[in-house]
Amino acid sequence: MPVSKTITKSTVGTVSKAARTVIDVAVADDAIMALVERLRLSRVRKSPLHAASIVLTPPPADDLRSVIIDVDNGLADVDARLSLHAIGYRLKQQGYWLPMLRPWSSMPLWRLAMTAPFVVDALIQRGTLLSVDGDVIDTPRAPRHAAGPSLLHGLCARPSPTALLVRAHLRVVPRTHARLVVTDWGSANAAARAFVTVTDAARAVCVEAFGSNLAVLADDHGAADVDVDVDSDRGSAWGSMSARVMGSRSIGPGDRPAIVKALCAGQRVVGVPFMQRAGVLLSTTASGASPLLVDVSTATTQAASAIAAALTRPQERDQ
Amino acid sequence: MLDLVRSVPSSKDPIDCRMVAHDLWPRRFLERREELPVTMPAMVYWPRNDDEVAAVVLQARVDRRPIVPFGAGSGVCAGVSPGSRSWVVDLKRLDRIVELDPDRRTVTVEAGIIGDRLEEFLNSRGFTLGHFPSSIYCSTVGGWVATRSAGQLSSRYGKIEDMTLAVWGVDGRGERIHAAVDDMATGPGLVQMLVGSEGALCLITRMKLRISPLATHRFVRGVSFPTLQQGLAAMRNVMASGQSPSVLRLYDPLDSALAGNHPTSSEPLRVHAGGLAQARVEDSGPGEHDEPTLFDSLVRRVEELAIFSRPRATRAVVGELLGRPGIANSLLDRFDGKPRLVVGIEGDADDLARRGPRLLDMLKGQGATDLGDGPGEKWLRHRHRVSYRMSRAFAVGGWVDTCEVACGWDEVAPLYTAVREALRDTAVVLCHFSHAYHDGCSLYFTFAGGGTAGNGPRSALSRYDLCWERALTTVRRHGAVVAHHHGVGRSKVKGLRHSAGNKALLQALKRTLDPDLILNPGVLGLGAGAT
Ligand SMILES: Cc1cc2nc3c(=O)[nH]c(=O)nc-3n(C[C@H](O)[C@H](O)[C@H](O)COP(=O)(O)OP(=O)(O)OC[C@H]3O[C@@H](n4cnc5c(N)ncnc54)[C@H](O)[C@@H]3O)c2cc1C
Repeated sequence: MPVSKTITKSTVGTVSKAARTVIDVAVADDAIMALVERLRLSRVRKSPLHAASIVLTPPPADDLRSVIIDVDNGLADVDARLSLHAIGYRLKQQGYWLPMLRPWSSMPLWRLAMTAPFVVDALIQRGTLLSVDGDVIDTPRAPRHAAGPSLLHGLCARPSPTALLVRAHLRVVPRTHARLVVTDWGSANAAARAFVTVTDAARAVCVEAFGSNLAVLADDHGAADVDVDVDSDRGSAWGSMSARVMGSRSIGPGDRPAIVKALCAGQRVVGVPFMQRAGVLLSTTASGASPLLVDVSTATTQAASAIAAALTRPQERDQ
Repeated sequence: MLDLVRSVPSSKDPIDCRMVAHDLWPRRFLERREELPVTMPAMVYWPRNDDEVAAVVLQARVDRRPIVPFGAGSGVCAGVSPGSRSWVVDLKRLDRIVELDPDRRTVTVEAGIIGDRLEEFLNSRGFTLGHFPSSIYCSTVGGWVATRSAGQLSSRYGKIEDMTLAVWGVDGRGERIHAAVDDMATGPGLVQMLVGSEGALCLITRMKLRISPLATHRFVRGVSFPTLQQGLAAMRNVMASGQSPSVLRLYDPLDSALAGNHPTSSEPLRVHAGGLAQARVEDSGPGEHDEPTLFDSLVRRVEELAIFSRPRATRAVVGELLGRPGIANSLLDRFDGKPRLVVGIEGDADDLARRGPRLLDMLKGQGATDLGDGPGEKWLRHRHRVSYRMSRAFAVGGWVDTCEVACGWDEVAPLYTAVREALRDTAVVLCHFSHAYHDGCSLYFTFAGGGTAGNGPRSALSRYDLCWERALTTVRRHGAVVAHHHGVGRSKVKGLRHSAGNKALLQALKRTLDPDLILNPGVLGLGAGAT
């Protein structure tokens, strides 16, 4: 039975109309409610917050509401204060794969969304966000994107987030449907070629390249395209990959030159073939990741200007 | 810049303006039948490059004139609906294939190229875009991106939004804009803000798209299920198992019944040479013998009942019946067919020889009966033979329209039932499920109805509006997305669900990129009435 908490804007004083916001209890524990109050207070006092100054303690490990599997739709409704690392492990316990391999980022998901748009693009179907006025925003529930421009990124990712991701619906896959095979292809070039072959077939849940290694998470037939040699499984080699995933750069899933370049630079390339997405994981955050949180009208105008500025500036491809 | 606008090819000729006065929104056919006046735009421009597009926008800003981007006008939800002061910018002269990069698997094209021309070009070089809307012969690539189009092989290749790696355009300030997934500043998010913007944020002039190598072989099969629920569950399981078939289309019982019987089959599994993308041009173009429409199927079924001996009488009766959908639906309940699924996968011969039987076994395990290759090959042969003529239903006072929505798997069956119930006394409703994903599916409804002439409460126009009103309300209530691939245009704005923060950002974006609100005012519910 869903339980709701109702909060009234007038609890913080000066709001003109008594707008009421209903937050599902799965979203609103005390820490989030406290953040809502704090955001509203900062608006009333005209003292904007810096996203970087927000520390949200993750829910306790035994909090069952923090990762809820939606079996019908292949989704996991997760608390965005958890890191991908924590989410990945909880999913594993519940018999599901995240379409991204270990080591996962230890950044909280709400922050990672601001710095790693690839994660938002490939993994998150929809989000529940908290506007800087403390209102709840639900992005549409749709396979792929909803009608019209997709605003999930505009709200919680670069270039200028206007809301904090508090819960996210992540695409997940039952472990019974896919198994992981790691192959050393001998060179970055060969690994990149195999990466593209797997993404072209569009069947694997996830494919990752690192150095000359390629890991494919797929059912037997998804993996068959690259003639993966199960005997050469080198799962342990994976352990050497950088866990400090703090950012991302998306690439075309068939962009072999970009994949080779990233692999030669020691970066990790991730593909989510069933979503037709690929990206390079970075161990640095991009600039502009910690926005100033002001009230919604100012924030949306600022965001729109930042977006317009980003759209008109020259491309930065090779950062 | 403003001088440049004089050199942009343009016309005020009534015939030219009439050609771009509206898209293929079916309500416009009803209006024409009622001889309601057509609103003509003030001018049509055919810019040849981005500079010319920008010049037209800047001049429109000075004159405060609305601008309506026009691809090929195949849209079906009033995305193109210029007012009498509007300028229509027809982008079809921007039709170059700018660059094919086989190494990066991308093609860069201008927005006005007709889809089929691009596909033909790619096929000749061993690639496919993998995007096959039924309107591929009469729609532009820019129109696809502007409306988040989906093709018949979307389960494998994705929607156009999944293929779009970069977008170039001109916004309402006359500024050039550019977003690319691999651009650190803009990233994939900003590409997705321009994709689906339906001309409200910018005129898209060019895009970079992901391409795939042509598959060498295909395997297609038809199966039927005892119930729709079983068919839907099977579709979901196929997608969850990571099979990504290229075709996965389930027809509801009525649609399956109208299509006629297919005998069960025990014929051996066959892998055919040629992928699904190649099986198109030779035998699948628009032709004399169009695929029977819903109206034709109804006529055929009534003929089979052998009540009327003359075809004209039968057609008139079907027209009458469409005006009495309650009775029509009761009669049609008698044609309770078994939901039919067409499934097709692509790959090399060995791969398909392994995967095909496994897939079929999996479907049988979910209750499917094998119908052999027939239904699949038939679908493949006819798949672009949508009727390019006006449906014959219009000639007998009826109307036909389609409505494509999307939701999570758990909502598909309840939404299907709810829409049919909501429209039971307004229209005959068929449905198929043809774009399946890991996390949900699209429902493609076909509505057919009728009504009297004029615009009284029993008129075809009122019934048509009532049908849409009920459908959109039901879709909204179920939390489904109001448009999966036709866009929102003006006709579906009522069904949009935005939470406040979404709307605030969208409106701020509109005001920033289009400060005078001249770009396609009204679509997506943005900027209407400003100019
Ligand atoms: C018989 C038939 C079958 C169809 N089948 C399918 C199908 O299988 N799948 C599918 O997805 N759709 C289908 N459609 C719908 C239609 O073809 C698509 O919506 C298509 O994407 C529209 O392309 P167009 O070039 O004709 O755009 P138009 O109709 O000219 O425009 C559509 C909208 O996009 C805007 N627009 C167009 N070009 C640009 C641009 N370059 N920049 C900015 N805005 C622009 C217009 O202002 C308008 O709002 C079908 C339509 C018909 C008539």
